[in-house]
Amino acid sequence: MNNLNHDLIKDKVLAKIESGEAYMKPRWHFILKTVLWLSGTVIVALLLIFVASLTLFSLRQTGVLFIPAFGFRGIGAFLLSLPWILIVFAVVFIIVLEILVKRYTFAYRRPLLYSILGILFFVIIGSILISITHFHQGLYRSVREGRSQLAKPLYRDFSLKELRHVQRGEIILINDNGFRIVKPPDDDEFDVIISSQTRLPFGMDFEVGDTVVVFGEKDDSTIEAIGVRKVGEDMPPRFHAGPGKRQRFYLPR
Amino acid sequence: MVEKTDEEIAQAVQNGNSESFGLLVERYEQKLLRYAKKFLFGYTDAEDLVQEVFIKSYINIQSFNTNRRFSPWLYRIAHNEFINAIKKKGKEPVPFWDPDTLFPHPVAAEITDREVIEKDLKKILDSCLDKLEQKYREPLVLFYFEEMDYQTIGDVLKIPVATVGVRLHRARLVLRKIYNQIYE
Repeated sequence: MNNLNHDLIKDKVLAKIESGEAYMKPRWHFILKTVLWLSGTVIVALLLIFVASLTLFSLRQTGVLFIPAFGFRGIGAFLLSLPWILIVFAVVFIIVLEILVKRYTFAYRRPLLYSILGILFFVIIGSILISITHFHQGLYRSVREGRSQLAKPLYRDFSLKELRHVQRGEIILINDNGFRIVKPPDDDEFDVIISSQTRLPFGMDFEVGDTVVVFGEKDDSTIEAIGVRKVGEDMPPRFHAGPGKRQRFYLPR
Repeated sequence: MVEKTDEEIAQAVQNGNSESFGLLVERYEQKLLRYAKKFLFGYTDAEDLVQEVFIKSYINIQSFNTNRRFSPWLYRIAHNEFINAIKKKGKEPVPFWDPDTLFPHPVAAEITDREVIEKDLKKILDSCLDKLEQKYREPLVLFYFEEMDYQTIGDVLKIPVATVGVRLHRARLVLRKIYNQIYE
């Protein structure tokens, strides 16, 4: 009975092949499929790096990246100010990339955790490389100068975003109560009031020309600082250069 | 005369010798029928499914890399066909994702005394296999009936080798429990 069964299978299969009902797909079909799959993988990987590096750039540009240093309130404000849309996109791209690479032996033979860690490592390295090339700074500048309309919505929504509790700017004047900063995107000026309650996790040796992140609620053009920290990065060159002579600020006793 | 390997026959088919495909069907139809019948309990159309597996493998044979082994490639097509049949019938759930594939597990040593325990276990398998979940049933069938190693099972199911070990270990435990419940 078994032999009869399988002879029947063989006959039916060969009959279908001979009649042309079952036809062999040409090799180019599979080559094209592989090329498309690889292209899709590369495109998703590039999109993922773009979104991840834009997230990092936006966090730096708005100053949000630096506020967890101001304690629990800083961490709370950090979580609330994260660009969640970009993060959701990044997660979606990670899932899609995972699905795309899962067909390859190197990916499915290892636990999912390893390939996810591999993707994260790839994203981190990619984002570092992007930040070295100043890719986002270039696009951001072209948006500010009105040269790039295509990238405008992205950078307007994320990197030029106005935040209530966090301001990143350059010190242009030191006074008795604190200092004055100028900040993008419109070169607005704010007087920052520093008190004994202000958290200064990296000291209070501020000078004109320093880039600082100020954490505190803004009231018109005044900010009562909950925390201030110097950021070791210069603001883009569009800002006022400030007075030539550098002044130092010391917290009043 | 030295018998041609599966890969050599597959290459001949790729080069246009369609009749050679009959040799591959001859070599694998019994094995695939056994795989289908053990894995797909309560499905009456095992022959039709196996026939479909061969048709699909012929259609896609140009995608087969002749530097690799033919058998896992064919079984992978069979696995997909059988899983689709299970989904279509809707008799049992087929999870989209298995959490066992997420974390690394220590790879359990492959059982080397397969022959010694085979008789005993196959008897249990024959009577209880249908009571196991699909994700446990399939690696058992591939390991004990198709006599594949962990690596090959992993390639057929596209899961990590460590997950194959975990599934086989859990499957044996569940199997013994079911067997004890029924016969003791």
